[in-house]
Amino acid sequence: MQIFIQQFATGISIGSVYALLAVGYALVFSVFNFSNFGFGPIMMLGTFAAFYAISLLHLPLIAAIILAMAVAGIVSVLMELMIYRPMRQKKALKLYLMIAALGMNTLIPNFAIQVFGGGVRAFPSEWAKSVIKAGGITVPRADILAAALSIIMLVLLWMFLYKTKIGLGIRASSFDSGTAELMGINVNLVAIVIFILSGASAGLAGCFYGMKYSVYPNMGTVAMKGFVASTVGGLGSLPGAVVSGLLLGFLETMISSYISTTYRDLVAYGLLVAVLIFMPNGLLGKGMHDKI
Amino acid sequence: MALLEIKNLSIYFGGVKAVHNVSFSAEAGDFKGLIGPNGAGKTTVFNGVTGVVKPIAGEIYFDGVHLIGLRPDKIAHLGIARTFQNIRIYPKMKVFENVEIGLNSIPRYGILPAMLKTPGVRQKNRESYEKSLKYLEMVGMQEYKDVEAGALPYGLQRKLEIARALATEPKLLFLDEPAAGMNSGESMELVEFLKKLHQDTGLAIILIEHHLEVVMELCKDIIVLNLGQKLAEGTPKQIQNNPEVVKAYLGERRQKYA
Amino acid sequence: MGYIEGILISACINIVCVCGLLLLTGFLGLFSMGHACFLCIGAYTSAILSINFKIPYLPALAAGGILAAVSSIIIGYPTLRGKLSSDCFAIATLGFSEAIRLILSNFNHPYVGGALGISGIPHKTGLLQAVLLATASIFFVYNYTHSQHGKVALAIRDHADASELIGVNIFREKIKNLMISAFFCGVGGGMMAHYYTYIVPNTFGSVMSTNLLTAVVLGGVSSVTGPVLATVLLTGVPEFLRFLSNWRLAIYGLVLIVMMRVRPEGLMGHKEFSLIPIVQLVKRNWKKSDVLSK
Repeated sequence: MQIFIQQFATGISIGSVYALLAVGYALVFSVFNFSNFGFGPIMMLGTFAAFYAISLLHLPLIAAIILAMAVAGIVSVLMELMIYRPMRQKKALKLYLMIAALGMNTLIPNFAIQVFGGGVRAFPSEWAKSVIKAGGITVPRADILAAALSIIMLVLLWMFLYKTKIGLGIRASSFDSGTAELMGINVNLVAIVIFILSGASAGLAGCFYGMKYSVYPNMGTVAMKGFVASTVGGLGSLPGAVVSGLLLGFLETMISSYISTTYRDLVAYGLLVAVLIFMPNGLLGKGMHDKI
Repeated sequence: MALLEIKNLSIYFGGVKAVHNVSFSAEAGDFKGLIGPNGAGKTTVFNGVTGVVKPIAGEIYFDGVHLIGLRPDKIAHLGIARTFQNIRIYPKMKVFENVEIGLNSIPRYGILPAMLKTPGVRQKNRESYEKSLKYLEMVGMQEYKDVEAGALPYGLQRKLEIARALATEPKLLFLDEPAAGMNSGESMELVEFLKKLHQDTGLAIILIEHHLEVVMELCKDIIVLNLGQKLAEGTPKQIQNNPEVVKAYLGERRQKYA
Repeated sequence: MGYIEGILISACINIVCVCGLLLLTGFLGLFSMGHACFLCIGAYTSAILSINFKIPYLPALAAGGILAAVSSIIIGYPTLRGKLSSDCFAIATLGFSEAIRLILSNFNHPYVGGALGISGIPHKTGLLQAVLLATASIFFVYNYTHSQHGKVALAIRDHADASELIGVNIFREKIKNLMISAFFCGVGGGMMAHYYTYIVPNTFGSVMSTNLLTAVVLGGVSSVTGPVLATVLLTGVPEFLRFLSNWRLAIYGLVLIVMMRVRPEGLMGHKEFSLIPIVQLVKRNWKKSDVLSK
């Protein structure tokens, strides 16, 4: 039973990383019906910012995390302003946007390998590695921080989307951006806000992932679990993204400890296939489909 | 039984009753009009019949076959064709290639023959080319056959869409606002064009249109929708004199003459 | 001479695979991030048949292609039906690619070899075989894309909903083209296996998938000759720019981004490469110089 609780805690902590990634991805998808495959590199750049902030500038952990979120948010917005928006204005096929996103997913990590060096490194925070022992189980402090900050971030996000005017604009745009624009909502502003929030989620998730595992230029590939979680939860559904992210983290940890560790990464894929076959709209989804 | 029978059709989107309890029918060779103020549900009816949206209640019979639940491409092969409010021709293809898609929506030869470019394949390609020219001739566009479709002026793109629809050899043609964006001179040309088309092909045509002069000229029978429900049905004269119809349109009429 | 031959054979293998991918992504418009998995399936299948069952070269390649095509249904069936977003398909291709790699890396049966892969595959892909297969691929795919099948694919890419209302069976066309593209990549994978004589699961990762996609994007989305030429370029140039090899992947990424911003339809766009305009240009200038010299 103790082992179960231990695994449960681990599952929740990795689940909150996935949930943040899934939400960040879903934010952009719900409004633009478009997958930002450059999301992984955004996460990586944010994490590296925190890494260097701590190791070179000796910033405290919280400050580094905030920096990570800021850097990731800025990179995210730059992608939108420099690449996606001009392409959308030229009425590019969705295929082209996806290829551009993939281009970023190829350029940025490989550029980072050359500039930062491809090595795997540990997140430089002693505090994060320290553990709390309670009731016979050992929980890394980082996990608790991850869970706590994720919940705070998600609650803030929820309040922002449902209680503020800009949030209303975002939700309207996600339903129908054309009508939203006609209603006077500044869709361009909405886009910028969305990309900042999406990036910030990625930066936060990256820090927790870095604390739990390690930091390396190709760490953006973890974002794929976020995409899968978001698809499982229902493309375009934010609550779905959170639920599936947690579920995925939980399932991965359980299967990894009770069945086999080698096939841990297959859990995500298996879940995706199962959901797509039996519940194509996802667990909570609205069933987004390609607009013409 | 009529060619097209729509009984108590209801299509809801969430809480919005886009179409509610609408019934009408069309016989082979009819030329009917479907009019109503913006948002009345006209295009939604088209979408319901062609299988794009799923009705929540009602029945649709075409040539005796119940359409609800069928895939749109199956419905197209049963003999219903349509054009779109925002024209959807293939901009990067040549004009005749656009029409060919209508002819060959199911390719007429297999994968291996296509890869080997057998004489049979060459023959079928030639036949398809000839046939596409025939349909272009019907709409008076043969001279544009090799033009890139996206480069055509608006009016010709509309005609191309009609040619492509005709190429599917339908029994019923839905035209969705073909006169949109035209001035009165162009509209009158369109009227003559559609009149001749109807005479030459003997198709059943249902027309959605806001240019009321066009509808009154062409259609023997007109159905009026308002706020998703059927308001009236009758000859052009009857509709023009129907006080309910006038009231429904009064807002629009006022704007026109203001 | 052996060095040049090596580059040519590599280019031919890439051409066979790109011919498959250009059909799916260029003409049909379906974005695939994991086509390397089909090369993987083709490579392993043909290698196992070749080594353990002494199956000759071409039948082994064909078997690899067929198995790749059949396995593509696993991705295609859940993600291509109904009105699911094409993002689902893209994510599924990536997931499937990773899954296959993971499974093969941990499958320690002697035929498969786990993470160490298979070695000792007979070297049967010589220059002749490679060139013949590449030429055949170009021929088949060129004819296919210019046939009614190819035109329907373009129609789906440009206006899927409208095409359905004209009578196109979207799901069937998508699955069909997916299977054909998987087949070509499977054969390419087999060619690879019989050239390098050893294969490991890690070769068939996102780098390979991205390389193939870059060739299609660079060459042109509605063209066969464009991507073929781009493939030759992309295979040959890195060899001559060895000093840039570390930056090669980053440059590919940059190429994708720049192409999408500047000329998304690719260098060739919607046309096929033809020598006719060049010949005409030369003829005109010849005539000009004649007039001047008189």
